[in-house]
Amino acid sequence: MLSIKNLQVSVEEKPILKGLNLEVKPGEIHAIMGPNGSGKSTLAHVLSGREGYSVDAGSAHYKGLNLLEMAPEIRAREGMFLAFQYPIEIPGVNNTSFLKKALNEIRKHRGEEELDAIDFLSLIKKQMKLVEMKEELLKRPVNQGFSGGEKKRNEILQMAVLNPTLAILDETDSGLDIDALRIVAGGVNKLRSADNSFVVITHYQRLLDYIIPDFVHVLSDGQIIKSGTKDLALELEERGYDWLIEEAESKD
Amino acid sequence: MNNETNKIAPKNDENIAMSDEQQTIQNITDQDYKYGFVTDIEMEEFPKGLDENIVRMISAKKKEPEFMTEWRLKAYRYWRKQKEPKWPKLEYSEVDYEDLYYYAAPKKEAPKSLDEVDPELLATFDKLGVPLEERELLAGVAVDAVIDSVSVATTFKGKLGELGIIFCPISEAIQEHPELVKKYLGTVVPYTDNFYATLNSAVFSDGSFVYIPPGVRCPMELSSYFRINASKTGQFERTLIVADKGSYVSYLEGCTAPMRDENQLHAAVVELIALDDAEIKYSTVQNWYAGNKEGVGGIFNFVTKRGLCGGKNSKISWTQVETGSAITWKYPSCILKGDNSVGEFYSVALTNNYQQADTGTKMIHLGKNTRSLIISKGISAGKSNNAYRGLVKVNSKAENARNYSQCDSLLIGDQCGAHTYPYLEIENPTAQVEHEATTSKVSEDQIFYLNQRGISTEDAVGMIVSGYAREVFQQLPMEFAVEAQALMSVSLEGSVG
Amino acid sequence: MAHTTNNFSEWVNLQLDSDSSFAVSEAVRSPSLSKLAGGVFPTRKDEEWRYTPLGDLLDSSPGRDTTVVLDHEYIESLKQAMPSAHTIVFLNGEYSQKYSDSPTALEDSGLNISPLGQLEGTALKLAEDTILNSTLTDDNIFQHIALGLSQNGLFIEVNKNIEGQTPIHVIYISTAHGVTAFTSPVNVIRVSSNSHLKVVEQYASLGEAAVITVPASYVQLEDGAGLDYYKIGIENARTNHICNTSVRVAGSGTFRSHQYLLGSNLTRSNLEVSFTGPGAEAILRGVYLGDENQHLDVRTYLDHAHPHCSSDQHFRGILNGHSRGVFNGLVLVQEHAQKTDAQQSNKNLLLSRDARVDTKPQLEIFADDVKCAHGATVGELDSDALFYLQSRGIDKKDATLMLTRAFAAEVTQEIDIDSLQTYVQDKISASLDEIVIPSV
Repeated sequence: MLSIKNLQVSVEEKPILKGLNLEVKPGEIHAIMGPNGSGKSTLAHVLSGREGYSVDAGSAHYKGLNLLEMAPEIRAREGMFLAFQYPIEIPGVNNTSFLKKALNEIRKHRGEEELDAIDFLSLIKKQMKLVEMKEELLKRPVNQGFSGGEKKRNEILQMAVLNPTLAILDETDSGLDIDALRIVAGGVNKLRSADNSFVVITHYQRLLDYIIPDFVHVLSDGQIIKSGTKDLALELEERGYDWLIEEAESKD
Repeated sequence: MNNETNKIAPKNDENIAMSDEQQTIQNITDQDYKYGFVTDIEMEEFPKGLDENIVRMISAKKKEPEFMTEWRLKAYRYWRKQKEPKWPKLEYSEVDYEDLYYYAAPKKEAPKSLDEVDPELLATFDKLGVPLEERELLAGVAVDAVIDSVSVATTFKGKLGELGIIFCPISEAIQEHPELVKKYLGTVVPYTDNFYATLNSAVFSDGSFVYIPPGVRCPMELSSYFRINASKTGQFERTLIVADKGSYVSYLEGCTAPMRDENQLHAAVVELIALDDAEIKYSTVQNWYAGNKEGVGGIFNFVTKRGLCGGKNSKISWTQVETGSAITWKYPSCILKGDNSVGEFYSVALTNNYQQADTGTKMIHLGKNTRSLIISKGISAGKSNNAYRGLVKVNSKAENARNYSQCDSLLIGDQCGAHTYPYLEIENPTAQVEHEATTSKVSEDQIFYLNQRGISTEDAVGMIVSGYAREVFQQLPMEFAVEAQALMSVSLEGSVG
Repeated sequence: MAHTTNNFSEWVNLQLDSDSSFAVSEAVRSPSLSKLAGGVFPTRKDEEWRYTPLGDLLDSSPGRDTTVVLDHEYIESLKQAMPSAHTIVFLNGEYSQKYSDSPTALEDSGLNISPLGQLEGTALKLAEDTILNSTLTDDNIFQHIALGLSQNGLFIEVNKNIEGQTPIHVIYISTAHGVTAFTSPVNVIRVSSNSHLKVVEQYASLGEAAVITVPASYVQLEDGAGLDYYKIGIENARTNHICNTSVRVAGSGTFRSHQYLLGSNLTRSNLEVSFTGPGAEAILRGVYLGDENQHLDVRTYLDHAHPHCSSDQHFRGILNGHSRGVFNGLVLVQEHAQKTDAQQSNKNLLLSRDARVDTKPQLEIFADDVKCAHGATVGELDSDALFYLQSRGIDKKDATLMLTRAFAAEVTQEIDIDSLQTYVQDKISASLDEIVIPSV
């Protein structure tokens, strides 16, 4: 599914990722944790093709394709989805027509027939129940006038509609109260299958109470310094990150 | 751009007489306009430049009654005394008025088939979904008549005739309905109005005339079937629309496909008159040649458009989508004379590359309880400059006048300019006038967000811009609105990323 | 009425003949004098003067009342606005030692304050450099009138890192008995890095003859400096006042301006602010209150030439009688001035049938990553609010007054000198009380 080897990325000549390795197989959920500034969001952005990052070395392959050479919309059409930490507001662009356009672009890419308005509406209504979103939000411009929680639910709704094979959740839990967190996580869990994979980026352990990962990786200073299972996340919750960082540094 | 169709101003050595074959084709094509926008095109060569003689010849050619000839001459004499205005925010090389043809300039050799047409232009047609049969005409290819539109036009004409609606070229109206023309022509835009309107009054070639009789609601959008034909009316177009008491008409001008035109200067005049309880909706999509990416060539569009809400409860609504021309200078305006009359102006003006647009409206409140609404959405990209300039004037006798203006600017890239110059002149304490303006940009974040959902950058920019201009597109007839949105994307190509 | 070059030059020459000492040196004066010699007086055909006819502004022969003695109470009434400030009085254009506080009070304060005409050496050079460095354009004829004809003015310089200094209160009084009183004070204010100062300029006039006041002020703020600059115009109905203020604000500097135009026959105030470094801020406030045939014209020009600067303008007009208000504000955001935040608001209240307002807020934007907005409104009082007050037993006149005062107070409440706030609000209330509210 996703294979990252020795990925080195810098922003304005400042190295952020310093040789990152990660293998994600179909059906797996990987959690990436780490302190602020460790490079978590950079990883999400580089994988989805955002500008402003320079890849200095290493590779990232997705379904065997060289991810780093693909335009962001092609990555999306190939089934990669990024749930944004800060979803973007787009004034005047209707939430429904935006999502319909996105879905049909992806379907076209797959050689599937485009959905007409009626089929699309029934799909979206079904998926909205998943994230317990109010129907009126569909009529509003994309993310405009949405509360923080509504924006995150809107991200998960889009994920449910677009049905990606690899979803990257960038701090989806930040700014969510416990109810919203439960709903968002519930949405993710319902979408889990043997064919698709998730990379869940988070600062806190609590999201992982709801989305049980197969693997937990700790990212620090641009490298994964420790990998483990769910238990590692619990240990981090208890002891913080510092002991791990010290441990990693002493190895150097 | 490398094609003959693309040249802007005729040069001396290009006065190539049309070949016989072309003349024949031209004649057939002209039959298209038998209700027709150009009744009498003969390719006689009038000399360049302008004097009283040329004005008389134009009038004689069109077999105009004496009053028209006199009116044109008055305008000509007045024009001679005028100086061309200088605009602080527009930069352009001066037009040499003595080097223009004022009547039927000799045609240059047209491309014989689409194979000879600039591929870039063809690609644009593709993106806009221009029907195949329209492409050749738009590209200036010498073609057979477009038979379909003739028959459509004929049935169309019959239906309008039954309702007493007059819809014909203004040259025809001058001959057949002189009493109407005499009564209304120049009443809203007098020949003394401004340099370009004065010139137009002296030499106007042709244009549309519409008269809707009392109580009649025009059952269809006028000119939607004629819009290709209308492209032939040339550089000094004149349109006069009169909606008599209690009538309604919606008129569409222009075309979303890029117009190839050899005339650099366009100085049209449009006059609208709405009597008691009448409503006129005038929609424009203007996409004339804007010059190339380096800012060479392109049309100067100096047009005067004004509507008179002369009767009580009358309404005039201007909607414009301006994406073409190297320079646009236009202010479709409303004189709200009748009590309770309403003026509206909805505008999207998009500039890219080196385009310059200075556009807006004037809402002149004279009657009681008059209302006006201004929604202007400027979009600047490339190295272009886009200015909104507008006036809201409330006369001392205009009790309870209301105006709301929203003039927004969207900037794409950091090389362009967006300017807002509203003038509010209020002489009555019962007026409520409110103007607001904001600026925003198409952010990289927005584009990336849409990219990440599978939408291409080009589509993303189109979506964002259409979303921004939504309030204006909503005013356009459905079919036009869809085309106009596609036009946004095409016009912004290469401006992002 | 257009002035021909001839009678304008004549007027200038008459003025020159009546003076012998000048505020600035020949080097600064002479370019202005040659501008005046060939100068054309603006007419309404100039876009800049579209809404402000100058008419017979300069028809009367200028002169100066040099023998006047002011009574003590009058001076005290003017000082009321700033009782604890350091006061400096200019009488008919000349520094008045008699009415001003002693300069010794400011010794060792880090402030250098002196009449412009008495400057020498480096201070003079600094003052004149500030003038030459101004944002005012060369075709601003009133700047040349001020520079060419000024007999005096004030120089204020604040050294580095000076905070909490006593505010400066400058009072300009013109008296016109029998002959037109013409003055054109030139003021220079410089605030060095990380210092802060408050200056209040107040203009007053007396007498039965005409008064013409043409001030030009030049302000320069260094990095991180701050100036609160108040202008209070409460002149009599025979006064015409045309002033130009040029302000240059360096990086991280803060310029706050309040203008209250509450008197005169005609006032035209042109305030130009230019940012010369990133992170600077300008806050402009003002109220113009007109009655009878008054004409009050406020112009602002904000030049965002550097990134990360912000400007916030809020002007309100209240027009009664046959008075006329004009607001004309231009915000220019230059290329590269990214992250600019520029806000501008102008609201106007028309209280009578014959009052008029012309407003022209303008934006010229050449950078894309900016937050710019402007708004303008013209209208009468909110009839719902009026009715609400009436329904609580307040008569219509009082209700109108209350709401009008409240309309002005939304600006005046931002005056952060208590005595001045009270003074301005009282003046506004007093003017409004005289206004006969038409019964509708």
